[in-house]
Amino acid sequence: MTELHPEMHERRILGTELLWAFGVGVLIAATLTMIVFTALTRDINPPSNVERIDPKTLHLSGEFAEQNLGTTVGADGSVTVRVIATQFMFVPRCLAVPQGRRVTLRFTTPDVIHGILITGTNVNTMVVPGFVSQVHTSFTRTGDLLMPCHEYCGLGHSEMWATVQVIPENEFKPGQDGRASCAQR
Amino acid sequence: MDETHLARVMQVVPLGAGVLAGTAVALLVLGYLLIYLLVFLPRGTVG
Repeated sequence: MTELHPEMHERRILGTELLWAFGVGVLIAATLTMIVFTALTRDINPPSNVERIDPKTLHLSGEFAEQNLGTTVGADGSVTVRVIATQFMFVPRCLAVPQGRRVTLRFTTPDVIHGILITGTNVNTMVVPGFVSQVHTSFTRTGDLLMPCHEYCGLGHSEMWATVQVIPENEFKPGQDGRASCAQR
Repeated sequence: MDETHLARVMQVVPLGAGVLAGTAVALLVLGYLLIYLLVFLPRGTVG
């Protein structure tokens, strides 16, 4: 057993390394397959939206003017929520969304970099001045969810949070103008 | 170093390294899978 030639040792080590490389290759392939499978079957993807907006004028007119902020239900039933993240608050501070329906969340900021996440969901994005961050999701559970700023944005950062109110589909009743707010409950 | 002793050690080195690295990677993959299946997927769709 003991008198192996040095070349034999090297061959065994090389064999082990090749086996290891094969095993790692299988693991990487399995992980990638799982990610692609999830993306295709369960619609879970990294949010990717590159859309520019002028941070100096976004509050004056257009999509992010004050009257357009909050939840809007389109004629086709699509739900869009528009939010401005600013030092140190979200406008509006409470977002009303229906349960189990596809919701489009759109964020932008006039000042510094912010970030948002909604607890208990996979919603998580940066909000960068000059860009619109867009995330699609569907809320499965009703109730109030916390939406804090998760990117340090200044001294008031820890006070910067909003509430996402997930309302049962049958109780979600937007007004004539298609607007919905937390006050309807 | 005695050649015989070296040969004896070298016979078990690849197996030992494989078991050690394999256990470490298996634990890592298990942790990833548990978080992926029990935390990430139940949190629902996003994109």
